[in-house]
Amino acid sequence: MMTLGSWLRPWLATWKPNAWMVGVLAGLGVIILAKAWEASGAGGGLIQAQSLDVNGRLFEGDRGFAALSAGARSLAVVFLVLAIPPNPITARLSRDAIIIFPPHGLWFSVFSGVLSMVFHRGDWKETGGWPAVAVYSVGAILLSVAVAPLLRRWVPWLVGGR
Amino acid sequence: MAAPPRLHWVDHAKAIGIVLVVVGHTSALPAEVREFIYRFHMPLFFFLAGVLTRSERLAEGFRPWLTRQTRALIIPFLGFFAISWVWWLLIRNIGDKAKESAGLAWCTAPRPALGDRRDAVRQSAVVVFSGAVRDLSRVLGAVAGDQGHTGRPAGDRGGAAGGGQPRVAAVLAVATAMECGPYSLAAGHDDAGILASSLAGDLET
Repeated sequence: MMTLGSWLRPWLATWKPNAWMVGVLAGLGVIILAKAWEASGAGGGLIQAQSLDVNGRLFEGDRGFAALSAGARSLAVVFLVLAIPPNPITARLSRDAIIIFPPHGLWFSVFSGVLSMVFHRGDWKETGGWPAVAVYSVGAILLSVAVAPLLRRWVPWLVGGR
Repeated sequence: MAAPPRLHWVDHAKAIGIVLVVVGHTSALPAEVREFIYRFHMPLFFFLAGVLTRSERLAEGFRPWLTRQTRALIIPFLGFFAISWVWWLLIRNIGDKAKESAGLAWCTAPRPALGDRRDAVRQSAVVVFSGAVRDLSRVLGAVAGDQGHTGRPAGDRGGAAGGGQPRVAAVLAVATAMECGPYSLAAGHDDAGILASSLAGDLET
């Protein structure tokens, strides 16, 4: 993926999304194609289905097509975002990405502690469902973004600064 | 020297990627959605790192590179690991956490922060090994007559063209091997993805 990104960089730097719809459709088409290939492998087609260990989680599929699928989905995201004008929200999230990444799990346990004290009387289990996913995710991101300036100011070494 | 133009679409893509990282780690997420996210959110960061590859960074020596990587990645990693560990020590005997932590000694590393200890060793090895390969690629580049970055404009952040091509190719080859190898696989390992994606470029645009 890194090599692919490096190869495509000159093209992506000059490509104008005046035909962004074509790009989106092409990206979606590639996703569907890759997904179909995955399915043919898992369904006993030409490609032998394998068990993929992805960050400790096991998925079914073929390694080769998993790579193809990952590339297709990444490219689809790029096609999509090429059409989006600059905005402060993604700029902020992008700048703080390296700060959001490490502590978000920590925030999850903080939220689960507070929520469980309120709703589950001390049972620190995450509540299920999409509302919980939204609360945990948005909360973790907002907290990380909020503390980012403080971290940069007081403990820059902790977030990769000098 | 004028700053290179900011690639706003990279900001958008990074924002989407980091949101997917956070969402993907919520335990309440349906399995199908998690699989969809896990299959590409780390490769997306790899891709963006490739886009942001800077040949002038690849031309730096091993020690400056190691210093930069240590400051940017290893220290934050250990710092947040320490914080997470202390937090885990505080909460491990409370409520539902007590069941998960039953029988674990205080010195047991909290998996959310460090993961498998073998992973930590591998991550360190990857960082050091990639630096060594980078030095080797410099030697190979010199043998091949490559004189490195030759005054290309600051705005040119492409990595696969110009004088540093042998070095860039070597580093990208290592990064690709890491991605496709048993270590991180194609779909990516979070920590490996973050570390490896910093090899040839920066996560910061």
